[in-house]
Amino acid sequence: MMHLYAFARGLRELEAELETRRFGSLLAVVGADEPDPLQHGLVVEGLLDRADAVLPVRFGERFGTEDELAGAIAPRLEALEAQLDHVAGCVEVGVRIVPRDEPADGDDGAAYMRARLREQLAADEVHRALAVKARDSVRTNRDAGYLVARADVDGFSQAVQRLLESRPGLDVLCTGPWAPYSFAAAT
Amino acid sequence: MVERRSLAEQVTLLDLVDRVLNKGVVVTGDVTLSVADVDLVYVGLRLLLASAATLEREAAR
Repeated sequence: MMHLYAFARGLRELEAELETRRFGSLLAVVGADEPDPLQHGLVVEGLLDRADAVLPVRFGERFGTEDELAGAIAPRLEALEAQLDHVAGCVEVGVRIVPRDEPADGDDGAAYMRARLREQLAADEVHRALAVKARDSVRTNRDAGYLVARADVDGFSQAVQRLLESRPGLDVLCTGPWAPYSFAAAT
Repeated sequence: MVERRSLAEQVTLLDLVDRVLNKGVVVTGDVTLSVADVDLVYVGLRLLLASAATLEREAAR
Protein backbone atom coordinates (compact mmCIF):
# COMPACT_ATOMS: atom_id res chain seq x y z
CA MET A 1 0.00 0.00 0.00
CA MET A 2 1.09 3.55 -0.71
CA HIS A 3 -0.10 6.58 1.17
CA LEU A 4 -0.17 9.81 -0.86
CA TYR A 5 0.96 12.91 1.05
CA ALA A 6 1.32 15.73 -1.44
CA PHE A 7 2.39 16.83 -4.89
CA ALA A 8 5.55 18.86 -5.13
CA ARG A 9 7.91 20.61 -7.50
CA GLY A 10 11.54 21.54 -6.94
CA LEU A 11 11.98 19.07 -4.11
CA ARG A 12 15.47 19.41 -2.63
CA GLU A 13 15.50 16.59 -0.09
CA LEU A 14 13.18 13.97 1.30
CA GLU A 15 12.83 12.13 4.59
CA ALA A 16 14.11 8.56 4.44
CA GLU A 17 10.71 6.87 4.70
CA LEU A 18 9.27 8.81 1.76
CA GLU A 19 9.53 8.24 -1.99
CA THR A 20 8.47 10.15 -5.08
CA ARG A 21 6.79 9.20 -8.35
CA ARG A 22 6.93 11.54 -11.34
CA PHE A 23 3.78 12.47 -13.30
CA GLY A 24 4.30 15.23 -15.89
CA SER A 25 5.92 18.10 -14.02
CA LEU A 26 4.68 16.81 -10.66
CA LEU A 27 6.32 14.71 -8.05
CA ALA A 28 3.87 12.65 -6.03
CA VAL A 29 5.23 12.16 -2.52
CA VAL A 30 4.26 8.73 -1.21
CA GLY A 31 5.17 6.48 1.70
CA ALA A 32 4.61 2.85 2.62
CA ASP A 33 3.60 3.68 6.20
CA GLU A 34 0.03 4.07 7.35
CA PRO A 35 0.21 7.45 9.06
CA ASP A 36 -2.45 8.87 11.35
CA PRO A 37 -3.81 12.31 10.41
CA LEU A 38 -1.34 14.12 12.63
CA GLN A 39 1.64 12.30 11.11
CA HIS A 40 0.28 13.00 7.62
CA GLY A 41 0.02 16.69 8.46
CA LEU A 42 3.51 16.87 9.90
CA VAL A 43 5.01 15.22 6.81
CA VAL A 44 3.25 17.69 4.52
CA GLU A 45 4.34 20.67 6.63
CA GLY A 46 7.89 19.28 6.57
CA LEU A 47 7.86 19.33 2.76
CA LEU A 48 7.05 23.02 2.75
CA ASP A 49 10.62 24.00 3.60
CA ARG A 50 12.18 21.54 1.18
CA ALA A 51 10.35 22.27 -2.05
CA ASP A 52 9.55 25.19 -4.35
CA ALA A 53 5.87 24.23 -4.48
CA VAL A 54 3.74 21.89 -2.37
CA LEU A 55 0.14 20.91 -3.05
CA PRO A 56 -1.20 19.05 0.00
CA VAL A 57 -3.33 15.94 -0.41
CA ARG A 58 -6.20 15.24 1.97
CA PHE A 59 -5.64 12.47 4.49
CA GLY A 60 -6.87 9.06 3.36
CA GLU A 61 -5.61 8.70 -0.22
CA ARG A 62 -4.18 5.19 -0.34
CA PHE A 63 -3.30 3.01 -3.30
CA GLY A 64 -2.69 -0.71 -3.50
CA THR A 65 -0.49 -0.64 -6.58
CA GLU A 66 1.55 1.74 -8.74
CA ASP A 67 -1.08 1.35 -11.47
CA GLU A 68 -3.86 2.47 -9.14
CA LEU A 69 -1.87 5.57 -8.23
CA ALA A 70 -1.12 6.38 -11.87
CA GLY A 71 -4.74 5.70 -12.83
CA ALA A 72 -6.04 8.13 -10.23
CA ILE A 73 -3.63 10.91 -11.18
CA ALA A 74 -3.56 10.66 -14.99
CA PRO A 75 -7.06 12.09 -15.68
CA ARG A 76 -6.42 14.98 -13.26
CA LEU A 77 -2.83 15.78 -14.21
CA GLU A 78 -3.53 19.10 -15.93
CA ALA A 79 -5.72 20.33 -13.09
CA LEU A 80 -3.14 19.28 -10.54
CA GLU A 81 -0.34 21.03 -12.42
CA ALA A 82 -2.43 24.20 -12.63
CA GLN A 83 -3.11 24.07 -8.89
CA LEU A 84 0.56 23.57 -8.15
CA ASP A 85 1.42 26.56 -10.36
CA HIS A 86 -1.06 28.65 -8.39
CA VAL A 87 0.48 27.89 -4.99
CA ALA A 88 4.13 27.84 -6.09
CA GLY A 89 6.36 29.81 -3.75
CA CYS A 90 3.47 30.45 -1.39
CA VAL A 91 2.33 29.40 2.07
CA GLU A 92 -1.05 29.72 3.71
CA VAL A 93 -1.71 32.00 6.66
CA GLY A 94 -4.86 31.25 8.62
CA VAL A 95 -6.82 34.01 10.32
CA ARG A 96 -9.72 33.26 12.64
CA ILE A 97 -11.98 35.85 14.18
CA VAL A 98 -12.59 34.73 17.75
CA PRO A 99 -15.93 35.99 19.06
CA ARG A 100 -15.41 38.03 22.21
CA ASP A 101 -18.90 39.03 23.25
CA GLU A 102 -20.62 35.67 23.32
CA PRO A 103 -24.12 36.39 24.60
CA ALA A 104 -24.52 35.53 28.25
CA ASP A 105 -27.27 33.29 29.61
CA GLY A 106 -30.41 35.32 29.90
CA ASP A 107 -29.64 37.54 26.93
CA ASP A 108 -32.62 37.72 24.64
CA GLY A 109 -32.67 36.74 20.99
CA ALA A 110 -32.25 40.30 19.77
CA ALA A 111 -29.08 40.73 21.82
CA TYR A 112 -27.78 37.48 20.40
CA MET A 113 -28.44 38.59 16.85
CA ARG A 114 -26.85 42.00 17.47
CA ALA A 115 -23.73 40.32 18.81
CA ARG A 116 -23.63 38.05 15.75
CA LEU A 117 -24.05 41.01 13.41
CA ARG A 118 -21.23 42.95 15.07
CA GLU A 119 -19.02 39.92 14.77
CA GLN A 120 -19.92 39.46 11.13
CA LEU A 121 -19.22 43.08 10.20
CA ALA A 122 -15.88 43.03 11.99
CA ALA A 123 -14.91 39.79 10.25
CA ASP A 124 -15.89 41.25 6.86
CA GLU A 125 -13.72 44.27 7.47
CA VAL A 126 -10.69 42.25 8.55
CA HIS A 127 -11.06 39.96 5.57
CA ARG A 128 -11.28 42.82 3.07
CA ALA A 129 -8.17 44.47 4.49
CA LEU A 130 -6.13 41.27 4.36
CA ALA A 131 -7.40 39.82 1.08
CA VAL A 132 -5.84 42.65 -0.93
CA LYS A 133 -2.44 41.77 0.51
CA ALA A 134 -2.61 38.10 -0.46
CA ARG A 135 -2.28 36.31 -3.80
CA ASP A 136 -5.54 34.51 -3.12
CA SER A 137 -7.94 34.01 -0.25
CA VAL A 138 -10.77 31.76 0.87
CA ARG A 139 -13.17 32.38 3.68
CA THR A 140 -15.77 30.48 5.60
CA ASN A 141 -17.47 32.71 8.14
CA ARG A 142 -14.96 33.12 11.00
CA ASP A 143 -12.07 31.36 9.29
CA ALA A 144 -10.07 32.67 6.41
CA GLY A 145 -7.03 31.38 4.61
CA TYR A 146 -4.64 33.63 2.72
CA LEU A 147 -2.20 32.49 0.08
CA VAL A 148 0.93 34.53 0.71
CA ALA A 149 4.27 34.47 -1.09
CA ARG A 150 6.88 33.05 1.24
CA ALA A 151 8.87 36.29 1.13
CA ASP A 152 5.79 38.32 2.10
CA VAL A 153 4.84 36.36 5.23
CA ASP A 154 6.53 38.81 7.61
CA GLY A 155 4.86 41.76 5.96
CA PHE A 156 1.51 39.98 6.06
CA SER A 157 1.74 39.14 9.74
CA GLN A 158 2.73 42.74 10.46
CA ALA A 159 -0.40 43.81 8.60
CA VAL A 160 -2.45 41.49 10.84
CA GLN A 161 -0.72 42.96 13.88
CA ARG A 162 -1.47 46.54 12.80
CA LEU A 163 -5.09 45.60 12.15
CA LEU A 164 -5.35 44.21 15.67
CA GLU A 165 -3.81 47.29 17.23
CA SER A 166 -6.20 49.55 15.35
CA ARG A 167 -9.21 47.48 16.48
CA PRO A 168 -8.83 46.72 20.18
CA GLY A 169 -12.31 45.15 20.38
CA LEU A 170 -11.31 42.31 18.11
CA ASP A 171 -9.78 38.95 18.93
CA VAL A 172 -8.00 37.36 16.03
CA LEU A 173 -6.07 34.12 15.95
CA CYS A 174 -3.40 34.00 13.28
CA THR A 175 -1.87 30.60 12.44
CA GLY A 176 0.74 29.39 10.02
CA PRO A 177 2.57 29.48 7.80
CA TRP A 178 0.89 26.28 6.61
CA ALA A 179 1.09 24.16 3.51
CA PRO A 180 -1.63 25.67 1.29
CA TYR A 181 -4.44 23.19 2.10
CA SER A 182 -7.21 25.71 1.52
CA PHE A 183 -5.99 26.26 -2.03
CA ALA A 184 -5.77 22.57 -2.88
CA ALA A 185 -9.22 21.72 -4.15
CA ALA A 186 -10.70 18.32 -4.72
CA THR A 187 -10.26 17.51 -8.41
CA MET B 1 2.91 32.49 29.80
CA VAL B 2 3.45 28.75 29.93
CA GLU B 3 -0.29 28.21 29.93
CA ARG B 4 -0.77 30.52 27.00
CA ARG B 5 1.87 28.76 24.96
CA SER B 6 0.39 25.33 25.57
CA LEU B 7 -3.02 26.63 24.53
CA ALA B 8 -1.53 27.99 21.32
CA GLU B 9 0.11 24.64 20.65
CA GLN B 10 -3.16 22.81 21.19
CA VAL B 11 -4.97 25.15 18.83
CA THR B 12 -2.30 24.66 16.20
CA LEU B 13 -2.46 20.89 16.56
CA LEU B 14 -6.22 20.93 16.16
CA ASP B 15 -5.90 23.21 13.15
CA LEU B 16 -3.39 20.85 11.59
CA VAL B 17 -5.63 17.81 11.98
CA ASP B 18 -8.65 19.78 10.78
CA ARG B 19 -6.78 20.79 7.63
CA VAL B 20 -5.59 17.29 6.92
CA LEU B 21 -9.10 15.83 7.22
CA ASN B 22 -11.13 18.51 5.49
CA LYS B 23 -8.89 20.18 2.94
CA GLY B 24 -6.38 19.23 0.32
CA VAL B 25 -6.41 17.56 -3.05
CA VAL B 26 -8.44 14.39 -3.50
CA VAL B 27 -7.55 12.21 -6.48
CA THR B 28 -9.58 9.08 -5.77
CA GLY B 29 -12.93 10.69 -6.58
CA ASP B 30 -15.86 9.85 -4.37
CA VAL B 31 -14.59 8.67 -1.00
CA THR B 32 -17.25 5.97 -0.72
CA LEU B 33 -16.10 4.44 -4.03
CA SER B 34 -12.64 3.80 -2.66
CA VAL B 35 -14.04 1.93 0.31
CA ALA B 36 -14.18 -1.32 -1.62
CA ASP B 37 -10.43 -1.34 -2.17
CA VAL B 38 -9.38 -0.26 1.30
CA ASP B 39 -9.40 -2.43 4.36
CA LEU B 40 -12.24 -1.85 6.79
CA VAL B 41 -10.18 -0.91 9.82
CA TYR B 42 -8.69 1.92 7.85
CA VAL B 43 -12.04 3.10 6.56
CA GLY B 44 -13.39 3.05 10.10
CA LEU B 45 -10.52 5.19 11.30
CA ARG B 46 -11.04 7.71 8.57
CA LEU B 47 -14.76 8.03 9.14
CA LEU B 48 -14.29 8.27 12.87
CA LEU B 49 -11.85 11.11 12.46
CA ALA B 50 -13.78 13.01 9.82
CA SER B 51 -15.49 16.08 11.16
CA ALA B 52 -19.26 16.25 11.40
CA ALA B 53 -19.31 18.71 8.51
CA THR B 54 -17.48 16.28 6.24
CA LEU B 55 -19.79 13.43 7.15
CA GLU B 56 -22.81 15.61 6.44
CA ARG B 57 -21.41 16.57 3.03
CA GLU B 58 -20.70 12.95 2.16
CA ALA B 59 -24.17 11.93 3.30
CA ALA B 60 -25.78 14.64 1.17
CA ARG B 61 -24.19 13.31 -2.03
